[in-house]
Amino acid sequence: MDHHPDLTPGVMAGLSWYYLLASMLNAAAAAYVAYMQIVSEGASTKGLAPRTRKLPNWLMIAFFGLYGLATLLMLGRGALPGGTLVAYWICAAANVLVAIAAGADAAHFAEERSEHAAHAGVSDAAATLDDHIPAHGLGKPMNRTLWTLVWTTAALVFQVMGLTYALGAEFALPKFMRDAVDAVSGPTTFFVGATAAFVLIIKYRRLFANGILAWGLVNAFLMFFGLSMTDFDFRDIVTKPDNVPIVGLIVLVAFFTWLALRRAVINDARMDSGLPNLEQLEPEKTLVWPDLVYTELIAMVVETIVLVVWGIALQAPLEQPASSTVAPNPSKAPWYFLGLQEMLVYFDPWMAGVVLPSMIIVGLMAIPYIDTNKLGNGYYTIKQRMFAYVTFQYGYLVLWVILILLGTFLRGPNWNFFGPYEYWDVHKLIPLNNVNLSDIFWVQLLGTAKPTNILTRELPGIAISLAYFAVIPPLLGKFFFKKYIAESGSMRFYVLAGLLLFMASLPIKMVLRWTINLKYLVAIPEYFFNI
Amino acid sequence: MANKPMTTAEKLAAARAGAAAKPAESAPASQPAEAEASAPAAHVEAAAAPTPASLGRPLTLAEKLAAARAGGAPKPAAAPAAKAVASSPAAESAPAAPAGPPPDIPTPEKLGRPLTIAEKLAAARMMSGSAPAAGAKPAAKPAAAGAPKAAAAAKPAARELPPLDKISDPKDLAEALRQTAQKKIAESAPPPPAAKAGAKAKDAKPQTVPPKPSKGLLSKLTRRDVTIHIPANLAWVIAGWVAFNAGMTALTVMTVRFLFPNVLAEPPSTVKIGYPTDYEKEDVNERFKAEWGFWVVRSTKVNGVDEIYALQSICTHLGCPPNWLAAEQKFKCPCHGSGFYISGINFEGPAPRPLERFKVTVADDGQIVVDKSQKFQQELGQWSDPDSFIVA
Repeated sequence: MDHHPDLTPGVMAGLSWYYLLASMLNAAAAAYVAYMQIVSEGASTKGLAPRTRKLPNWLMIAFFGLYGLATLLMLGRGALPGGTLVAYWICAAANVLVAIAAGADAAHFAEERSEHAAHAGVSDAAATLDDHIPAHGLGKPMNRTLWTLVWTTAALVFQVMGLTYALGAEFALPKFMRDAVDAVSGPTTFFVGATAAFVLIIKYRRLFANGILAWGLVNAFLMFFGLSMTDFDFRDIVTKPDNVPIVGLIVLVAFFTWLALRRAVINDARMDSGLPNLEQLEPEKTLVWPDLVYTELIAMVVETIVLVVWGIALQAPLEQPASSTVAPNPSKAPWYFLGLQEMLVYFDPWMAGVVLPSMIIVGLMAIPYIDTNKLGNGYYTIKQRMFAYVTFQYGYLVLWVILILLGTFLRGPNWNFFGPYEYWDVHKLIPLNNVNLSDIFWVQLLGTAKPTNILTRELPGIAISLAYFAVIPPLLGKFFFKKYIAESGSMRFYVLAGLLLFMASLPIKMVLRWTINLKYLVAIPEYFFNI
Repeated sequence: MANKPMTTAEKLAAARAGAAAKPAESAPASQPAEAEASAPAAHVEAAAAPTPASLGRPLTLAEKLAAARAGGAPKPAAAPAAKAVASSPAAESAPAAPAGPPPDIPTPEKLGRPLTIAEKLAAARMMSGSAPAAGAKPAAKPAAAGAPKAAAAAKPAARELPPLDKISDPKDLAEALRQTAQKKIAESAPPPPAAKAGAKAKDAKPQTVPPKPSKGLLSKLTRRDVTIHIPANLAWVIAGWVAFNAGMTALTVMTVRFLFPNVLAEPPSTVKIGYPTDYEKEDVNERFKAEWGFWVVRSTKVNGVDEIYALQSICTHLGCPPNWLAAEQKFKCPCHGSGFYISGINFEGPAPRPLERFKVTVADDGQIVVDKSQKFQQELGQWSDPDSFIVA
């Protein structure tokens, strides 16, 4: 589309700086792996030989000196034609310098080490503080040379991409790739994919807790985001002032979830081996004065600055005066309610707007009464609280955060689903002939007309709904919650089962909508009662 | 028990015995009766609290507290004690019978029903006067002198006081005064022995407060006063409530009235939208959507008849205004994706029912009049109403 150019000079300049940042992050990662002492959480350093790796002073001076020079150039770019480009080159040089120095030094350290080992006849296996001391339960120490080189490579790749954009090369994500992504994306694949990813992360959490994999995923996200920004439609949605916080939300939620998961994995492994957990090792005691107060003061100042800059840089998205007869298309709730709005697509308003939100609040309030598991108090753990962890995280991450992302980025005009690179076409036609269960049962299955009596007409749906709440809890209690019932009593269990079923009703209804186009199980519009 | 300080365990046991075994409280009080009545209530001694006599030493603070606690709630226990005494053969002859609760305290047994709260309170008030007598004090004093106060009628057992001129303890002085007063009352009171015993028991009740010999008279007076004054008070109470209710009713009426203002700034609910011939076939006219909130539709898609109807432009799911998409020939809601055919029938998204129609009529001048005050809902079968459409 001509009036929707994928790449403009502004976008390319932005992308070049974006890749510069990505390159800098990877150069820093390479330097960290090459030079620093890496002792993971709770790992013991007792009896290890001191480290010989050291961050060279000249490298730091060179790096910050170059960035300082670039900053000066940027400040004076009005007087210096081409100053921006020169500044960019200087920053890139600093990145490349750090990345390559780190890679070279890592190789050098490895060489020295093996020489020393051969000379002294010491086995290579004897760890020193030069090695990575992994956390208990997170596998073997990483090969520092290898991973320094990997992140060096990543830094160079990002920097080269940044330079190409800085030099004006128009590289956009190939159309066929975008089309492929759009073709496979849809509410079903998105939601089912998110659920599958959730299950995988829980199942292979030891792998995900690993810093290397995590940094790899960060790089993958950086690359995906950078490439996607070359698409007009993606950029248009992501950079809307409304949606910027959601991008930040992805980063924050992902980071803190990962951090908690990592500590939990380490704690679980430690406690399995009879070791004290991390929180016992390093009790979180901080002096109120001055440590806590200073920290809070700094956080407060930074927060204020961020909000002020944000408020100036991104204008509030004001639209036309409100009217009862005109709604923006798409009409979106505030971002934090987009999960609820998505829920409203599958349920009647009183169900998705009143009953289910109330159940969420009641359920959260009931947690202290339902959760009789005394373990996991004051420390991170997944293993000791598997059910609680999985249930809460599924409800929070998948049924709330993921639905916010879906509502923010992938729901377009007429609340249709649009792929990440798809043009938000108001006239996009998605045939959705939704039918009620009564239609499926009486008309399609039995081939008769629907009975006129409301209760008879809706009997299948009513029976299924009642059975859902009457049959499943006893089954759950019999097969999965025996121990819980014995410990906490059947009253607690039935409350828990009821809440669980309400929670499960959302994904179930979503899947039913996608698979058999089911509108309502019980549809009594005559009395405004639809389930 | 051995003559040694009690261990903590013993103290606890003692306290528990005193607190748990309620019958124990009445033990000291009913001892005089039992002495004569061949101990019909012997069982009550089972968990008796320690006394100085049994310990052979003054009570410790803990023991005193336990005893006090045991005596502190004598109400339920007092009745059994009284019963035990009453059922003993010696009860009639023994003047110590009133050792139980004063005779005018209602008990569940007497009333044949559970006590009301007022009765319980009254009983408690009376008992609290005699509580020390029933529990703590007898326990703290030699058992021989046990319950001299509760068994006030058994005057022989009353505390031996020194002669009046040698009294130094104010308590003794008070006791002496009390006894003198009782004597005087007894002398002035009518002679029947039973009544006497009852009266004395009653008089003996307020142990810790000064005796009120005139109480009987006073209560009579009050009762008469009450019978005289109730109507006047009642009238005021009734007047107050009537006024309050009248005020509240007036307030409610005013509030309701407030909901129906004298002047309505709303636009009229009816609008003339032109002649039927102004509207094209199979077309949705959006002219009135922005201001009036409805589409004028002329279509045969509803039942094959070429008719004109006014569809309200509010989604039946959550009230957003849908848009008419001419290319797809459907109304589509931007909020949750509900879709409606040109007929207004819902077919996609979460909307549970079709769009609603407004009343349409043809005026005398041939123009169509849409009346927003009346709606027609398809699911209620109202679309067959002749007011819901015009045959073009």
